[in-house]
Amino acid sequence: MAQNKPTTLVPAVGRAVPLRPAVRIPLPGWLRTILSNRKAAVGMAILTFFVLVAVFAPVIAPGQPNKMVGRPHEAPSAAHPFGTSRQGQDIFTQVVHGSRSSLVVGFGTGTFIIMLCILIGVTAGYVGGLVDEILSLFMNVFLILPGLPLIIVVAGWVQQPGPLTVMLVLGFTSWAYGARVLRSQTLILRNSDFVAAARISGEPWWRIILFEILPNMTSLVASSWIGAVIFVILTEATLSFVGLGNPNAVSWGVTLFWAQNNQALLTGAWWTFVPPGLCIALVGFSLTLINYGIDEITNPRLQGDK
Amino acid sequence: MVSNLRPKQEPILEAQNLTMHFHTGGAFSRKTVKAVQGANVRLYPGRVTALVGESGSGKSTIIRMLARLYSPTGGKVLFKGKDVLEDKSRGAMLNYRSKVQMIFQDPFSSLNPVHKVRYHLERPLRIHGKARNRAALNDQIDVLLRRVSLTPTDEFANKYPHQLSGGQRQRVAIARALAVQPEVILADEPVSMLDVSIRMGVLNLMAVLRDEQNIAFLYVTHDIASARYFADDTLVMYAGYIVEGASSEELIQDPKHPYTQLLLSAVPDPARGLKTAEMEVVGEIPSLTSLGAGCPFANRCPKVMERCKQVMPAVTELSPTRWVRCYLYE
Amino acid sequence: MLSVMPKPEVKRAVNPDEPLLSVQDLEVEYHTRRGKVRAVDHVSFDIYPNEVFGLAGESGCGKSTIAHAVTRILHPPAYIVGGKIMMQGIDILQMNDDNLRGFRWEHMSIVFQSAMNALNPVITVGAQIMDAIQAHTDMSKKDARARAKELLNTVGIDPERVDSYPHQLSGGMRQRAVIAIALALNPELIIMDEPTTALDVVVQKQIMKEIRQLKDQFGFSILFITHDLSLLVEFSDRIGIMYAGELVEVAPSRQIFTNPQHPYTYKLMNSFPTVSGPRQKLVGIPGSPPDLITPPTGCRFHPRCDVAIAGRCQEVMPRLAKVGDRHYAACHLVDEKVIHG
Repeated sequence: MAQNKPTTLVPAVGRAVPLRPAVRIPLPGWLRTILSNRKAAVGMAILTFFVLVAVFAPVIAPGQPNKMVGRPHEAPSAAHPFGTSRQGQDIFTQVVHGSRSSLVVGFGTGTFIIMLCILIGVTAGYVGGLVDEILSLFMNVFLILPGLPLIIVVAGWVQQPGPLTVMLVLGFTSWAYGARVLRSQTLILRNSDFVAAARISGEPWWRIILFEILPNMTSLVASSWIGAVIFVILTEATLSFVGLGNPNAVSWGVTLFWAQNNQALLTGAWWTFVPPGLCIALVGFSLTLINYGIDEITNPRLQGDK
Repeated sequence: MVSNLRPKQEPILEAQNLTMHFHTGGAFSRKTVKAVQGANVRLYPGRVTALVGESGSGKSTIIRMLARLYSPTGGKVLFKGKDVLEDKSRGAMLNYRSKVQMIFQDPFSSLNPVHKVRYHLERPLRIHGKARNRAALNDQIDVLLRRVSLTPTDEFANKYPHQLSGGQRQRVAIARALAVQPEVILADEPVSMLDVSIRMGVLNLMAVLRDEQNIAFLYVTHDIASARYFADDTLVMYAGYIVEGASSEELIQDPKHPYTQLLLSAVPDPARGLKTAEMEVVGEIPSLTSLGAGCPFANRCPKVMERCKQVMPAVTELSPTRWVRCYLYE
Repeated sequence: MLSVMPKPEVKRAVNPDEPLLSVQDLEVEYHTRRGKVRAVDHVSFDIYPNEVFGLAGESGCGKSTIAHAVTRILHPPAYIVGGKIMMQGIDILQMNDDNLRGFRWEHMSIVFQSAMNALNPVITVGAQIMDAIQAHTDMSKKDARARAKELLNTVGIDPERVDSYPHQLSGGMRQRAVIAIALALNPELIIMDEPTTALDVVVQKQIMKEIRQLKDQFGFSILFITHDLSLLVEFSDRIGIMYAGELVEVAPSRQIFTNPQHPYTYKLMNSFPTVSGPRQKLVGIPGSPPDLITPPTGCRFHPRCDVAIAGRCQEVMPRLAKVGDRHYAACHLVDEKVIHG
């Protein structure tokens, strides 16, 4: 470690050799880092559970989720673990299948949003000048637009929006905040010496963005992405719940919409709204935990004094 | 106008009348920071030229213009006599970068924390076609790390910047600059962030590169004592102007410009004993946004004359190796 | 000129031979994930009235940790695990928060590198000085303002700038304002950690000169820390050299520069160029300071020392021993006479 060996006959002692715990399961580095944080590990466990449910939905709950399989508002029983809806549909099947659309819309739109954020934010931050001024103006306009009301208006105007429309509407109305965050981070990194050094080495601009700047924003991108996913899952549920989704689709929000529509609260049919509501809350909770975990990993000041 | 004169030799890199005015305060502001005004710098193969000045004097701006990180507002940059600023194509830029490299002040920020040492050395080698295949690449990396005394080279090549000390990082930065086999290295305060105990090791390494590879160095520093140690010639910069140039020893022994005299009297120097030359001085460095046409040192100069406040004096050559911009020597 | 404030409960240390501050066997540990780091290991030194005591060493040697320990602003993960810091018969380390509040500023004040940026940007400089005064005395607002002006004048700022906001002052003036606040209650000791590092050398020279004049005028002492060895040697009366958490040499600064006894001090003093004297080849100190989680056995400097005695230096830890008038060094090569511990 000493760049020049001291000219002494005395052997250098006391050099610390960093010890690494033995690795048993071969996991990618980033995943191991995330799992080393307790909050993130719990979040990952909950999320993994829901992903498995979504993947194996037809196995876990065979049958059509919108098919009438029992009497209206049957209380939970062995045949219908979460009871039935007013239409006699099996709530368990609906919730299990609903996880698919909620997660797909959530992660799909979340990814779409973060792509927009990276594209617009990083471009504005890296290119600077007039391009930055124009893009920043757009960001500021979208920032001050009241998000949810706008979504409701647009969703109402499109009429019977499919999942793709919901994704697009959510994407185009909610990229501004993330883009701003990534823009300012790009601005800081663009002016860093290692970017200047890369330019001096002759790196082309696209390599500077992809290999010098973006890798230094991984945690920011990851937490913005997760934040976007949470937002989309909650907003999608909200939209479906207020009746702006497709009422014939299968999602947690739609199940809630029908529960509300059929006055489940008044009739005491709690099983029609508690399971989907709990699922939304749990997925949001798990993502929030992962986000906290990423925060703690990347910001050592938040780590507990141990 | 000329700077450090070396009549027997042709300069390899030359800045002529280089000027940089930054516009600040956003699109609607007319504020201008006059960071550098009409700077002339000549670098010669196998020689170190120091550019000494306080923070904010414009020395970092000059080095960044020479490194082509900033486009100057005015003036020329000549490489081997050819104006390089005209051709802005990527090919021309790459060609320039393969000849002129730069070392940054802060080795903690000039290496990308997400990349290993190997990556930092591999990229310039690949970009400039210095190694065609894996084996050649590994050989080159080995040679470079050996050149900057980072051995065992295999071990260092696989480290991340945060696993290295400041001195080791700066050696990696030097190795990266050497990768393209440059003829000029621009060093922006390369040792000021390092512990005093390892500064000399880095400066001595660069002195070896100058002597053995005939590299021309521009050494930007605020530490005039280190300029005396490392540089053959020294230029003194004050508030955007280069005010004096001479061989380093001449400049230290017999400073001509009142600012250089003040600077030397203010440098703490235990070797000189406690009886340092006292020079009464008032005021502080003027704001670069409100510079007039006169000498920027006029408001602090003990020998100020009326015309100093009107027009900046031109270059006065005192000998083939030294010059000054001051009316006292006209 | 400055009127000395009445301070009935504490007497000025009048005996110049009696230490004003006495650091005894100070031990500070940092608790990190990788283990405990002993950043300051059994360090003892005295500061006498009207003296400038400098601390030098590579980064991480513990000099700033000592400054923070003396001012009691160390916070976790750093813990003071042993020793005493005596000032006028009181152990600073035993003081409770109430005692400390009165003690700081009145008896000891601090000027840090970042201090000039620590001025509150929305409060005028004068008001900030007045705050410091009024927090510790029952002086009226009018008197406090007059005193603030007086203090600004003392540190070379036009008293009319009392109503200026920090951003209206240059860096040098802000640093002077911080010194004015440090002087406000006429303390006996001022801790200065890199007080002029952010300033240009001309302004640095002026400020250091003024600090020296103020010191002679008011008789306070200074614990001075800077990475700039030239400045440290020029400005300090005595210097302590730290290496890897230990004090390895203490001597008057002339002695440290011209006649260093510890090989580390010798190398340190020959690792920076000067503007006068002969131009000679300098080598610095190859290698890096040890990892303090697993420090070397014996003398901590032996892996980098080229005059280490084989079989001795890597086993036995040398103690600080008297090698001359007010000159102590911890090295097996120098005088064997053990005076400490």
